[in-house]
Amino acid sequence: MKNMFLIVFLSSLIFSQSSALDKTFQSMDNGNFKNALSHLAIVISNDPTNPELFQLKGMLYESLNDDQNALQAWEECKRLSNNNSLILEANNHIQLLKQLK
Amino acid sequence: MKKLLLLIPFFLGCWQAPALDESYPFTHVGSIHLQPIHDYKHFSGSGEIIKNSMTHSFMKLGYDVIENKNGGTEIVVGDGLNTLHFTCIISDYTDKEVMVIPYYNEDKGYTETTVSQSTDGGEKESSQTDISTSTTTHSGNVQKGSRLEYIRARVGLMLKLHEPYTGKLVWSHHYWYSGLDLAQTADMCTRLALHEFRKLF
Repeated sequence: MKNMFLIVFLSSLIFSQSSALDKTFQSMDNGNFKNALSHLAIVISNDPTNPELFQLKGMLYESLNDDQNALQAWEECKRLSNNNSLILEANNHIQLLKQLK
Repeated sequence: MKKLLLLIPFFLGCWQAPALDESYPFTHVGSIHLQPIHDYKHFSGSGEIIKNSMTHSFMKLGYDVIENKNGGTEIVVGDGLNTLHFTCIISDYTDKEVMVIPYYNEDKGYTETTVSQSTDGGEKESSQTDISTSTTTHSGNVQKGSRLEYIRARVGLMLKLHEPYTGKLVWSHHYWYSGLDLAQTADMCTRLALHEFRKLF
């Protein structure tokens, strides 16, 4: 019985991660970027060094015209990434967002 | 000095500055003629969208924009007599770029403790309780989780400024911008273009 609980508990952890991702994209498809951001926060808390997640976060904030949070997300994306193409993209966004401030 | 040397590969790797003819007297330029912008591949109307976005951004930056009867667009940038032609090629215009996010799931492992208890004996005084405990540790690992896919917009522009008669290229820039909405991305892309442009005039 205890093993059963353990399996259920571990499965729920894994499913909560994938369902948070699913919900992020569902919300994006529906154009509800605020909701998508709240689900993305759960995904990032489980994978906090993934620059691509911050890239998505930056774009979501830009879509909401929240330049300050978008700038923070892109700076984090740049800090975590070692991919030149992604760093270049982050630089473009940072440059423009700083200009808009 | 060491710090400066360490910064050089960083700038070479991720910062793409426009190409510029530093000997050209940009202060002698009075106006810029925006050349027609052609649509990107099969994206009908994309050229017009970028053109309108550009003229809008020029106006917001305080430049005078004159749209001639023959469809030409002139941007007044100074008091000089020279004229430059401004060419823009759309190198990317899509709202269907598939992005893949690899994400990692960290399984930190867990410790499983099983406690077994049994009570033997009918009389209270002589009852005996056996308790045994076993502990099993399951190691964790970091494994690649799902690949996430989403669709986003991407707009790329190639910009050139050249002298109309000699054909001499005096400034050139190429870059792209990304976002979740195509119209907004196109607008941001042109704004970024003019950010570099502003340094000339």
